[in-house]
Amino acid sequence: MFKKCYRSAMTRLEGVLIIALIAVSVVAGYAWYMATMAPTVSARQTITIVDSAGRYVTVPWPVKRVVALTTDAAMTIVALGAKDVIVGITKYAASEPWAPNVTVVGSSFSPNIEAIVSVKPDIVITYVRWPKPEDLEEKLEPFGIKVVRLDLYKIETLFSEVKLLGLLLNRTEETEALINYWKGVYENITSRVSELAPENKVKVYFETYTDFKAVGPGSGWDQILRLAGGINIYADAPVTYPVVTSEDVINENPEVILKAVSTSKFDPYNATDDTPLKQIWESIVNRSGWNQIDAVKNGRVYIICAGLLHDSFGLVVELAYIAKLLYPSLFADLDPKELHRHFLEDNLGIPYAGIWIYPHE
Amino acid sequence: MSKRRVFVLMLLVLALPLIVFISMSVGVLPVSPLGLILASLSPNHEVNPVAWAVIWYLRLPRALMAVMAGAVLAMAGVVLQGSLRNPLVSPFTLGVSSGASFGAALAIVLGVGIVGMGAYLIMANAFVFALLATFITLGIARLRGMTAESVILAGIAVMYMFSAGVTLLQYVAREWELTELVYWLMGDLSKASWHRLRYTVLAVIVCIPLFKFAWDLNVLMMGDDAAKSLGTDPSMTRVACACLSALAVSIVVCMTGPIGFIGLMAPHLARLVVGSDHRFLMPTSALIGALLLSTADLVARTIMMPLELPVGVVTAFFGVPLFVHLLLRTRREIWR
Repeated sequence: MFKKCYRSAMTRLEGVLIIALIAVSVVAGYAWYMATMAPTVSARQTITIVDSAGRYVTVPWPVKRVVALTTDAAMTIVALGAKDVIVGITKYAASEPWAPNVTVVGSSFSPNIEAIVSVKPDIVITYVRWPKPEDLEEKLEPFGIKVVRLDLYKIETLFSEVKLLGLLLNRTEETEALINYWKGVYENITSRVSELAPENKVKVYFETYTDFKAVGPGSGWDQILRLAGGINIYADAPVTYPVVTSEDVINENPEVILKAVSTSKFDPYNATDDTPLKQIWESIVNRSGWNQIDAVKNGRVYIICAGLLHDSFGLVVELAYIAKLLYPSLFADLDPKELHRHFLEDNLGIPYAGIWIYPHE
Repeated sequence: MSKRRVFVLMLLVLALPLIVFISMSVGVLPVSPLGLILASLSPNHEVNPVAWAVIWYLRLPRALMAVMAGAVLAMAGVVLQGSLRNPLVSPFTLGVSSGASFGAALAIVLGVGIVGMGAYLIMANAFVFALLATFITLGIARLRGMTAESVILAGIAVMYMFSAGVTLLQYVAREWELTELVYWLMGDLSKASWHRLRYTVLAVIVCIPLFKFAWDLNVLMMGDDAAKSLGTDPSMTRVACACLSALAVSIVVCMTGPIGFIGLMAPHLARLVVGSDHRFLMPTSALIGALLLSTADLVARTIMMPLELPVGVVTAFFGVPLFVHLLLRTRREIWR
């Protein structure tokens, strides 16, 4: 009896295994393929540069085919007017309105090496820290594909990195023009801010996508706030994204409250109706006890949609928006919307559209 | 009965190279080992260097890594389930995966490690903490006479402690570090390379002495007292099995991240096929583990091409229904 049951289970399993074997042979037959690709042998000029990871990299010059493993790199290349050199892009960048329609090669954290190899790039551009060299350089080495590491998401290194990128693509003139324009805007803001007396600086509570999660030292938002002349009330927090209590915010009594909204909750570029933002805004001003906060009393609570503004030169537009929200009279002549339009239409080649700040003036 | 077991073993041994071969034939680029062989046999011997590099540097190490990692996880699973007499035990019960995760999180978030090794900081840190967790577990269990229950309970306690540590580090982490950590915690085989494969071979070698304990484990299944009367020292067997398997699993996990399911389910699948005699159960488990992980990785690489799914997700998604199916179809008692 015992034996019988056991055997019947066995035959079924054997059946499964045999079916699996047949399936496997079918796939093997399907995978039958002659390797016929011709090796790419060409004598090209090369250039040796030092990338942001501090390494000497020798690459073919001018660079004609690029895999951009970061949204920032892809966006910068598009802004340099060299959209057609991008041959591979991440899954995140591929969904952006300005993105070229090219092969998706995974993401910065899990690149698909074969997909990269398949588009035959001259170079791959990625962040200084990600992916790890053993997951990228080491694997691309047998294929002779070089990796250039540029962050392009930090405002302090943005301009020099863009310059290097322009050199690689042999687009020095366009690069110069682009850098001069945005550097001008950037320096205009930061120089005016530097003249602000400490007692005139505005205290800001910045809330991330998550309720009561503020920004602390080391976060990109904290840096933007500082550059815009704001005093982040949690600038000295022990962690990068501190979770704070309602009571503490009331106690700190910020003069301006900024709340970031993620693109998954509200897609600013394609938005025509600001109701979702209005709801978020209302939920903040109606938090119990918050009518005691100066920012709420004086109507200085704003919702900011990051999205497109968080990469490459978008950072400067973002800085302009925030500087103007913090110091409307100091920056009376600064028009963030015009900068934004310029960025989208003239740099990225997409129409200026959407809702980015609530309430809009 | 014995013939049947040998037949199953043979079938598995044959299936393994087949799945490796298929795994190496599928990918974004249309190249396969078969194509390479044919090209080299063709009159002009023209082998495409790109095709060769894809097969040799990308697909072969990964396929071999899947085989070895799967075998090691399954082997550790069967040995621990046997020596602790508990069907819920997995290679991670001793705290290996949470220790490794904590070590990796320390390296990723704070950039600190016990052994600073630059590029291999995460790997080295994960390995050290995986072993550390195991030693804490066994240390606590020793105080309670190394009984099966004490090892399991100590393991659970250690696991929770290190998991809390990982959560704390996630809280402190900046967004990029968090993303990197989450990717690590999902566990995948994309890091496979010839260099790392050397360590994996080491893990397999560490597993070999475990076969010596097959008979002891059979005896141990009857209970500690019975085992003692038959000349097997239960706590000695337990310590030896735990140390060897923890060492092997630590080596694997520090390179792949925690890949769940294989170590828990492969031994049970093997039990369904060959029964619970460890002399057959151990090799069968290892083979099934290797097959499962290879197949799962094949699916993970191809299902959303060119995006890769973490293999841990795939092992659970496809493995669990298979396991439940077999569980429900078998009227025999699986455990014992």
